[in-house]
Amino acid sequence: MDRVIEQPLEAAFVARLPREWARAVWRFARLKPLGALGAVLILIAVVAAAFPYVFATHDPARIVAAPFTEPSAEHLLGADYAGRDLWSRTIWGARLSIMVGVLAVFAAITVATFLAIVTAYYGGLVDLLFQRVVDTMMTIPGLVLALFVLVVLGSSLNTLIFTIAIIFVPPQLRTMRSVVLSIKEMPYVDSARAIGASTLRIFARYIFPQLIALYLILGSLIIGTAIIIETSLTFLGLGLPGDVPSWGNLVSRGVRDVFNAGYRLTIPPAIAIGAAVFGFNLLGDALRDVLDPRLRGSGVGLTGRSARFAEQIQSAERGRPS
Amino acid sequence: MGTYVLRRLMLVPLTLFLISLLFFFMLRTIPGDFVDFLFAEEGGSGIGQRITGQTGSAEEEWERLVRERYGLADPIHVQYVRWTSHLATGDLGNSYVNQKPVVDVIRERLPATVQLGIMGLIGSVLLGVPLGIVSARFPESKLDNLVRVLSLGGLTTPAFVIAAVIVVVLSTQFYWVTPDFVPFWEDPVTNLSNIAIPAAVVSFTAAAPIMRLTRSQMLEVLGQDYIRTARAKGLAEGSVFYKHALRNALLPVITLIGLSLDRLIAGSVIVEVVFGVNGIGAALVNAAETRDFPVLQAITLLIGAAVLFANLLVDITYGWIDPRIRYD
Repeated sequence: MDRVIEQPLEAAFVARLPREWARAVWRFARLKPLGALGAVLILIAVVAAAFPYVFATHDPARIVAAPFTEPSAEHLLGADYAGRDLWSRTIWGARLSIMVGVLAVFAAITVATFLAIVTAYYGGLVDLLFQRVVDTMMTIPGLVLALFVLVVLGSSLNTLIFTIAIIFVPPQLRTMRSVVLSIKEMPYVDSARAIGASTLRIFARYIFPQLIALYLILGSLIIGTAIIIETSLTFLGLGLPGDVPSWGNLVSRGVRDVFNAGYRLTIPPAIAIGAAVFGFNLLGDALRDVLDPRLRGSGVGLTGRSARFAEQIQSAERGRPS
Repeated sequence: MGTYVLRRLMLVPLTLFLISLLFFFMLRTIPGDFVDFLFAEEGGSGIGQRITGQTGSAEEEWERLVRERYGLADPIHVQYVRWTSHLATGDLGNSYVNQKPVVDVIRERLPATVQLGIMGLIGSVLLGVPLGIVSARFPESKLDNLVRVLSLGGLTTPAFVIAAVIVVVLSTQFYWVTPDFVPFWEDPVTNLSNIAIPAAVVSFTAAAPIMRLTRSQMLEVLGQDYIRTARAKGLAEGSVFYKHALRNALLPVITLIGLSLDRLIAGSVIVEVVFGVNGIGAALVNAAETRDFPVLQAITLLIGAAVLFANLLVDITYGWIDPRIRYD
């Protein structure tokens, strides 16, 4: 950046950039108010996840009050069964859920994109093999598959991220693969091959750029589902260890303590989960409409595992006489 | 059509085989099996005596005996062949934890889950389709916005959050305690009143995608030329909407309903645990916690088979509902 500002012409451009950005953001907000609401919710969650110590009033792991202390100015949401501050624990919970969701989804889509390019481009036996494995894995509901993988790997933060990534690869691979299949038949890919571009170059310079929009859309759409799966697994006692301040654990503990503390230990983390997932889904929907309106109504974004269903509808449409 | 069905049917055993292979080997190749787990939990001699019925061996000896008892000492492929050949005769092995035949565990647990699934499915259709239609009938109205927010809520709120909130609110406000599950044929009234709330939670989460797709399909169909023709020749709006548009719009919705089985299953796993329904989902979570491999394998295979057949059924009925679709 420093080097750029030294040059007067580009300096003017850079100075204008924030205003351009502001205008683009404003236009997006006007066009997609729900998407903007989603962005605000995500912003709140991401800020809480990045700087929990700013907003948390107490150490989330320390006992700072009597068990089941009522909410007060000192303890905004009261204290849990051990006397730890619920407000602080809920804030720190954002860090775990957002981190697991973002990392798992990033890993899953990156792997899926890579595999999609390779299998769709080469076709043949490898492609067929991958398709069968994808079919097989997609037959099992995501939560059940995740449960199984977690039993095998044992529960920890890393295995949880890995597990959620695994269950997201097959549906994303299928969506990406169908797009790569259509791209690879385009004349410009043939031309690239004709002028002697290497396979690697074709992948990186001719096919991958076409996938970036889809990459972003799929990513923002499934982070919400990833957070649902993470919190669900933790809630069931199979994800993160029981004493870690994660949203799934907080809700689970709140339900167990209902006869000591009523519903006030359960509702705040429940709202946090709902709001975060709601935010990601709203933004994902809006991004899809703005970046690639063709995907609208195709079923992409209905649920994390909707790719199969989208393909079903598309193949049914293809079977119709036009 | 006949050959298509045949071809799809031939794929079923292949996929089932792949599922069993995938899960079997995944469980066996990772270090830290059931025996390690149990020995770490309660020590070798206790568990060894319970399983083999012998006394007075050394710690390592117990481990060897227990492994031999379960055939864990054999090579993996031998274990797999033994497992599948038993499977073919309907013998799913015994639970590692309480030595009960897995078939009995499933037989005992299945009714509750099936009932929850059927009620959830019916509820989700009754909730999703009409709301989607109403929403498309008056697009951008207050009602439409309400329905859209509701369906987004159903999509975005995890089943366990809804279930947990319901449980805590009911138990604090009405001193309600999660009831025990009673089979339908023993006491229909108690059964239905106990399972109504869990089924409602499952319905709500499964209804959301149905609601959204019904709405978007209706709006898409309403924009087509033949709808304009129908309006141009002076048909009443109700007739255009319900006779001309609805039938075509519902085709993809039927596909989605058929494919919502995995959503129903995921929902009922959670709901069974929260509401204490004695079903397959609760058994699955329990088996995962105790590393009860035979139960875990049998239930995942069962779920895989159920989803596989549901998908097959959807594919076949689709051609039957809409004769325009040709299978190559």
